[in-house]
Amino acid sequence: MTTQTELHYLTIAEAARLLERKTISPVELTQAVLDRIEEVDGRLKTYVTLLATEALSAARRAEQDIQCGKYLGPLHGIPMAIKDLYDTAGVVTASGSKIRSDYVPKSDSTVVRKLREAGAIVLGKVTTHEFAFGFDAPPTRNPWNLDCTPSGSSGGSGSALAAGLCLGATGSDTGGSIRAPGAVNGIAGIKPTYGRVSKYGVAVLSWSLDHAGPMARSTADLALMLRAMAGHDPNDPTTLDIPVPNYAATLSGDIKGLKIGVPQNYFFDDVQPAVKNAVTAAIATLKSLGGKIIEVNLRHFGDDVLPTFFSIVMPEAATYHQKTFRERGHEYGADVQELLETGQLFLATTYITAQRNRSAIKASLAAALDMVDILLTPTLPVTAARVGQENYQWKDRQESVFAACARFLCPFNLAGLPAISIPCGLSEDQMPIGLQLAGKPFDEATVLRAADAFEKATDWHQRRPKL
Amino acid sequence: MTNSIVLQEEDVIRAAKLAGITLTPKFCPGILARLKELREGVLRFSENAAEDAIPAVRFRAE
Repeated sequence: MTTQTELHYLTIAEAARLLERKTISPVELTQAVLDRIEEVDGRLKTYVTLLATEALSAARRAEQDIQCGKYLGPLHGIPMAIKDLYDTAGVVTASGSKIRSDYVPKSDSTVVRKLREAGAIVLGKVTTHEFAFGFDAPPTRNPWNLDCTPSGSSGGSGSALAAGLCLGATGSDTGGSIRAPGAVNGIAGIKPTYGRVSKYGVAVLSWSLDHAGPMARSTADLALMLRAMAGHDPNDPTTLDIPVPNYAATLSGDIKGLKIGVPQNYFFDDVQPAVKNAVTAAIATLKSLGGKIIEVNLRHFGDDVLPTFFSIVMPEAATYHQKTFRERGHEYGADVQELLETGQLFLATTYITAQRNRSAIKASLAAALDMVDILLTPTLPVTAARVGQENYQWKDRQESVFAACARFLCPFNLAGLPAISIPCGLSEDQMPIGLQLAGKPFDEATVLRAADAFEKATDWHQRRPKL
Repeated sequence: MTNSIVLQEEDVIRAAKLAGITLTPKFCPGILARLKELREGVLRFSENAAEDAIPAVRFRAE
């Protein structure tokens, strides 16, 4: 572990203070990150498209604007990475697939447009699992151990943040694809409430489960990014026209009296000891800060939550890809091809029954959140998988990497609730462990406040991999 | 509905024809296993869910 304080490892909040005071310039900051990419990305392989020239041009414009007193706010001059699932005007957006290797959007996705309007500098596009359909992002590696995956599907964003190859990044999360790479790379990521952030211009995996959200090296940074990214979008009918709070202003560090629900079933079954220990310690920390720890039981939570999730995501994905798949099915990667073939064969009755089950899961989480302000769980039951690993071994069963990654995360996609992952420990072999906090619909502010209070009391989010 | 029907690979291949696709032969065993596992899991869950649960699909009149 190192405690580097180089420019490329600044948080957005730290960099913003220096940029506003003109202590550093956007060009200096952008160049420092580009130098870092040059230094280590040959090993990590996070960027699929690096826009160095364009980024430096944007940085020079930002520098001139700031010098002239036209400071736009905390994202002005901040270099960011964009998951290759998000449309970027004039730049190939392949979604990690041969199918779209020559797709060049004419306009930005809404989120990218909003980030640019807030002054962010787009460094380039980072890897995703093909069409976000998997918990990996080949060929990207985990900076904490190059033999491990960065998880996925937003694995390029997670790895790049952990290695100092951007200050913020976009992610998308259908069954955990922001939070899983957040956990295994030791960074922060939030899946906002369904309808909080526009998905316009982001390739679809599953219409009813997809969420777009920010990833960063601290909760405070997520707060800054989320405010810029969120809001109603006429191009995305799932977004709601409700006010977007100034999240950063709510990060008081005070969680006295906050009711924190800890599920006594499901979320601690088959968990690696290091994960259990780290999360238990996190509970003690939050309690010491004044949080009220309340044990909760979740009705309907058991082994059949995952089949419900898969029985929604697979037919929805197969429907999205139906036309292309019939014409060019052999061009998809083998794993996605198999998933899409399976998805074509679901009975409508199975899909509808899964949607009924989903209502029960939503009701169960709503009942728990009637008693508490937030729920606390491990993000994942495991640390990062090794490249090529197919299963995790438990006492009496094997579990696929896909299932292990989705198990604690997909319930919050099914319910559409806001959920964050922040670092809360390291395993014996120095691999990061994530803590998940989930809240009530559109109450990202409370989730962020609790996560930020935890970060103010610990230094897990400041640990960096040796590279 | 009967639970006595055992799904075989050839059934899945025929179902694919109905869906208008051709399955990749090497994927058939995995597809068969996954379809069975997921269908059974979804049905098991539904037996414990409230009888009046309606699908989680929201329609907005606009």
